[in-house]
Amino acid sequence: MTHQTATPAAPQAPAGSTDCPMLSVQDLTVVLGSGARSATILKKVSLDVRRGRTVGLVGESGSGKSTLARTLVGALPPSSGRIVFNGAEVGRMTRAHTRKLRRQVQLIPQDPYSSLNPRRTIGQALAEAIDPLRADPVRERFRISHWLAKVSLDPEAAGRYPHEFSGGQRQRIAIARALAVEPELVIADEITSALDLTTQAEILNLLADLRRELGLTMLFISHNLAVVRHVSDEVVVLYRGDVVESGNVDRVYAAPEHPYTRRLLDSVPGGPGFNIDADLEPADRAAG
Amino acid sequence: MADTATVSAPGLKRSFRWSPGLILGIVLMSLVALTAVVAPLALAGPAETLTPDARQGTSAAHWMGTDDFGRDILARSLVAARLTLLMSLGATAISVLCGVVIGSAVWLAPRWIREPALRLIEAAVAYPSLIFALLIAAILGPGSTTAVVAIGVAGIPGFARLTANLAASVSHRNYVSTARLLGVPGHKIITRHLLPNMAEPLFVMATSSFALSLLEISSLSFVGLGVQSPEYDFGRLLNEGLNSIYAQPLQVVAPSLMLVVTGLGAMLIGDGLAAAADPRGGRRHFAGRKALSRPASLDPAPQALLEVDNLTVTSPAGNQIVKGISFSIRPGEVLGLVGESGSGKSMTAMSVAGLLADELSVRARTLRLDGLDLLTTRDAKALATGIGLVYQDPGTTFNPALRMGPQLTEVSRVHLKKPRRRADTDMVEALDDMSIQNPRLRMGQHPHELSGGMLQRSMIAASTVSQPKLLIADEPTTALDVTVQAEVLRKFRKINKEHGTAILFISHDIGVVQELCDQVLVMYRGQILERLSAADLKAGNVRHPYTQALLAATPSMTETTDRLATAKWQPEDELETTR
Repeated sequence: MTHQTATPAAPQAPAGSTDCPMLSVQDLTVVLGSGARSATILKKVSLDVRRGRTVGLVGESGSGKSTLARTLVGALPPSSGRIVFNGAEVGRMTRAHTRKLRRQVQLIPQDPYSSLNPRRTIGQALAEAIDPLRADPVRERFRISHWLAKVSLDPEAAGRYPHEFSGGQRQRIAIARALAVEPELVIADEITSALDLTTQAEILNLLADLRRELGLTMLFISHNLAVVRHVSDEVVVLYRGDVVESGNVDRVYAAPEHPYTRRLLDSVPGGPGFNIDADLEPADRAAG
Repeated sequence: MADTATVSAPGLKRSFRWSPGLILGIVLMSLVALTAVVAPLALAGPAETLTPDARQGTSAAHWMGTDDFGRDILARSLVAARLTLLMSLGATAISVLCGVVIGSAVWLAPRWIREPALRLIEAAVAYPSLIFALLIAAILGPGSTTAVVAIGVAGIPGFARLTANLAASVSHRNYVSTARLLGVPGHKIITRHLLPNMAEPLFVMATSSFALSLLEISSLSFVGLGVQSPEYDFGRLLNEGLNSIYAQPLQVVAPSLMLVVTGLGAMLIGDGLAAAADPRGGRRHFAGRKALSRPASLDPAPQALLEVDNLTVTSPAGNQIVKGISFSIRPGEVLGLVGESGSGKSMTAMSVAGLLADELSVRARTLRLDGLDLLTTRDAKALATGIGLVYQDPGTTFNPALRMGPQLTEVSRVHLKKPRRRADTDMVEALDDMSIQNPRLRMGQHPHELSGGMLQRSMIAASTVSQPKLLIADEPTTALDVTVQAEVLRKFRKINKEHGTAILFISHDIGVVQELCDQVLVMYRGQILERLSAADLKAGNVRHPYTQALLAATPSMTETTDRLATAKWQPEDELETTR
């Protein structure tokens, strides 16, 4: 692999911000499969997410974005490296602590159609997020209304089933369900990529409002560079399992340091660097 | 501000389909069930009282005669329905309940238990259940309880396997992984998320399993391992009748008939439910094929390559998906068709290509490519060589079982009648033109050996070798990574510049359209709202409020905005057209 980290992976905390990052990923390596068929998906990835900040994670398919998200929520085991959450290393704590931690990191999945059980009402889905054991929508009705209102949905939505809602509304419900757990960190995995432009804009505005109101800390994963720029404070660029660049979003977009970041930004049609008549060599020829 | 339109997912609000078989099955089963309730009350006397009228033939008093002990054969067959049904129900209940519990437990178990357990269940399924049941019956000794337990236990592996398989497939859905993340315990995941979404196939299988249990229990009784005298079920009656089959054939016919009717009823219900549960079944084949109206335009614009005048596409339900749109493409022009989902942009492109599904009806005053009337032509060659097509998903465009070469050269060989070698040489050249490395090697490979970007560039190469006048590209870069998308866009540009090929380019991405196209049509719910030049679009020089709203909703690569405008534009005839 030729693209080694060119910049310090973890952005240095500016003066004034003294608290340690909420999430610190250090030299995380994830190998999937075993033996001859194993593949190293993430190679010594390091990144920090500080409280109240939104970190955008960009990369193309095969860059390891989703693997990182799944490892952070505990669905995949790290092969080496450390995940430190609020000062405590994940994997080196008691089971009870791990279970508590699981709820502090919530993932909003990409597909608004398969993320809600078609046989359960919205109220039941939110009740399960609030109290996974009882999942009683009557008992939790006030908090359900509260979270539905937070995502601009009517409280009467609680009695309805997922198929009665549009894609954008379902994504609001998925966001409400993640927030109802009152997590410290929200991981949003491509949450707008299945949506139309105007619906995407509504969801992005909703996220902005929620960040302001609730002081959300978020890891925002997307392949859409314009969306990441709109949402994030900092950005981390992944390329084939490596962090090639990270830093303040305006700095990275205005003056990318790594050639891959440059290429990525210049590939966005409608972006300032895009030139359709540029005679660039395709990746397979350049790499081959 | 929330979108007001609620959509219903197909399949959930699907109306239940009553097939004739299902109705017949329910009628038969209801009759048998009624018999099982009424017959033992009304006919117990003639069925069980020993009389001197042994071995009588058909008479007014005994419609089907009497047996060795002078009991009425018909009455005995009807009364036996109750015991037979109860035993079959019992056996099915054992199979379903134990099967679901074991299947769920296997799914919940840690991996090192799950895999061997699944193999064990599969081996048990492969073993003939009747032999399994005979074994159990032999161990427990003959009797009706034995029969129920034996057949019930023999049916467990089938349900256990179905449950484990269904659980494995449902558990891949996001709501299950989300529930895990929320900390919902395993058994609650099963009862809340898995079982409700598996109920349909399990119920269908239970119905079929009931029919099977019925036959197997009767078989056990028939061979003497099931119900013992003085009790009797269908199988026992057959067993008793066998001794005098020549003297008194009706003694076998009556229980056989009952068995056939009951089994048929159960199987018809099972099949009917399975068909009703299959969302792909029962698709109505709408008679409205391409209803073509004659071209009325006698004065075609001579400079236009493609002329579309008053095109409508109507769904089988009668909704207009494309509402009378008109546009034209000049030779060498790149026309973009941009809009959100449901705007009808793909429908427009596919009706030009003549590739819409049969149940949609297409009407137009004029639909003409150069000299070719697309409304009336049946000339496959003219269509295949006049129009090149590039689809959205390069992963599904190619047949994974065939090598790239024959698929790429198909149009050249079939329609242009090029010899194979010549077609191959041309294709290699075209692939090289699209910057595909080692084109000769690629031609011999299977689609999965090429990346998505390479497949899409191959597709473009294939659609250009016949030198089409028009290339229709339906969201050709949507499934691609952004750097690959940039390459593919440049290839479209190159074809347009070097061969003068006109392109109809469909996209939801305003950035893509404004970079590649000369002219852009903005579509919304089947209508063209605005036609503008790409330069105007790029400069934000748009007039229609909907286009303005689209631009305002697009996050920028350079400017920082706090909020995106989400004001939705509503056409004046909104209510009229959508309801």
